[in-house]
Amino acid sequence: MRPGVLIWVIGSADRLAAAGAAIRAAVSDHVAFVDVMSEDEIREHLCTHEKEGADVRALAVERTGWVCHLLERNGGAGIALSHGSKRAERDALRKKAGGMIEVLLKGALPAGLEPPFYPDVELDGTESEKDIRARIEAALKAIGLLDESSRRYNEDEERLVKERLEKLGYL
Amino acid sequence: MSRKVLIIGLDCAEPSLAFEAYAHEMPNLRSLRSAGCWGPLRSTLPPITVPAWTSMVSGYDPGELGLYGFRDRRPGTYEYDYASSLSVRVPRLWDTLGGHGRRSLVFAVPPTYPPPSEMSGALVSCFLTPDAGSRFTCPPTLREELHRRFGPYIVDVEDFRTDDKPALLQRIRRMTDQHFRMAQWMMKALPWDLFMMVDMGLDRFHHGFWKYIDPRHPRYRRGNPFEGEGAAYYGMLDGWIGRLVDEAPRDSAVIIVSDHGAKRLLGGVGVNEWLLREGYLKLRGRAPSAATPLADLEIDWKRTRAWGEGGYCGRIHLNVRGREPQGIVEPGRDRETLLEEIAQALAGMKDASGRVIGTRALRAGDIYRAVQGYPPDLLVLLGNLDYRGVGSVGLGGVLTHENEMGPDDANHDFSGILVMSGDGVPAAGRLSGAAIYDIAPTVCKLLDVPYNEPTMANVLL
Repeated sequence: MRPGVLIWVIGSADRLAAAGAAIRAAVSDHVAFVDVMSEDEIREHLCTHEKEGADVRALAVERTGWVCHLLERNGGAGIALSHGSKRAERDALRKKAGGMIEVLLKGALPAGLEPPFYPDVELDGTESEKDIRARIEAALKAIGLLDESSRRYNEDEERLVKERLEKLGYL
Repeated sequence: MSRKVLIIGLDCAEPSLAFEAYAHEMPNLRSLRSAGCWGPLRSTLPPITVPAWTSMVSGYDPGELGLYGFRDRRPGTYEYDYASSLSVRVPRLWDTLGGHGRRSLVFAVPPTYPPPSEMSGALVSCFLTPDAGSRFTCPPTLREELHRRFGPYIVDVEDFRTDDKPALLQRIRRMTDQHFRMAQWMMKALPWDLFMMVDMGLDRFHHGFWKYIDPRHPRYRRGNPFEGEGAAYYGMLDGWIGRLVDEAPRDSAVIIVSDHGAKRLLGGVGVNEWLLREGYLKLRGRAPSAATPLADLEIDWKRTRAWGEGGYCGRIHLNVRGREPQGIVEPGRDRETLLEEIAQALAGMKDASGRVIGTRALRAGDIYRAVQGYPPDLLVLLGNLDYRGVGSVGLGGVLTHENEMGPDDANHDFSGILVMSGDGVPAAGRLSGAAIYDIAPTVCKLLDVPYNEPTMANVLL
């Protein structure tokens, strides 16, 4: 089975969904399946609603990490969109996961969120989809997930195949 | 068990031609039929090369595979990814056999580019190989050996959309000849338990020459210079079938298959042109006055409820909130209502004479056992496949008899061919009800290897 990856996206709430979609697109070529744990899903299904506080938040992070880890260890990518995790909590996840990358959305961060000292990928919101794909793939490669021979098509190859399929009437 | 299985795939081989109209040109196929069993082979929905061949070698349907055509939606975007061997997440025949120590030789079975880095046997990638300079074989050294013996690999027919039919026919024949010669050499030079090859030449021939060979095609002219080429081409393929069968070990079972059939193409339906006119698709600015691919236009996503794609089957996607980046159709009841509305409108689509052309719009959840990946919201069989989908807008009308890419005379049909003969195959005569999914477990049975995939496939023996 091909290996998977756990991707933890750290940033302000208003940018998480768009970043999650772009990262999902970038990673989908390289793993068996992808799922994005949105903030709404985390809040709805993984938080304890009876009370508030640091322990409750930490439990939600742990649970989210566990779900993503299950996806990762089964050859998929679990992407967590979260604006409320601590550095130590993510480090604990990294030890558990076969492969993990942290993506930092640069800019103002919510209070209490601890950005990684050395994020695997940094995005400032100006990147094109192509840029994001390249950075995610570089991070996947760095953790040994991305074998160059596993790529579907590079840009030139895709152009050749697309032209052929159009001429043949398939598209 | 020492039995071997030889599979010769003829992409697009049509039952009414192979079993009836051109049967007299195919003595080898007739001989295999009379000694074994044969009949139509129901294809996948859609009857399109990539999902069809993958279903044949795995037993899974396109929904289970998450493979709906040559390209599929990239999640969370309005973009597409092109299918490749890496799109296939389930074991194919050669994976299953390799797990039991059996060796497979695989030649040009779609989609097999990029090739695996290692396998039990050897593989030459299909026409989805970018070009002859690509790494298209496993092991890699096989590419140089083939090149040395047969010249550069002819990945596919170049300049397919042309009116220079004699030159096109020559190129198709040259490709078919090279591929069979390569396959013949591999079959003799390398050890195998399963040998499977696919020739794409017949598909290219049908699309390029159908109007010359089918008296039911509206542009058929009796006495045209290519009228006899259909019989000649099927006859040439039969010659290759005879040679490969003769050279296969005596204890071989032989299977001749196609992934889908072929039929006359009456014209195209501008899927996006129709969606635009009906108000489902909105563009920024004025619609173009000349045929323009949708990808070259700026779509007003905030007001677009649906858009589509062309191809031998049409595909329609809804712009759903929470799924598409700028979705506006509410999931749930609104989405269901819109799907029903579009499907009903398509069902009433008429040709220029006012005749309803018989279009069906299908939902993935209704036709597959499971739905993986990102299927179109509606798979559209335009005029029961008498028409193809055209994705461009600015066509001047919804129904068109011109294809912006050039001449094309044939569409795919719902059933291909199946002939089984040789060691382990009873002389059962005509088969009915065989489906493309049944090939994988049948081959495993012939090779005495367990097929444990949880599919709906049946053993045909």
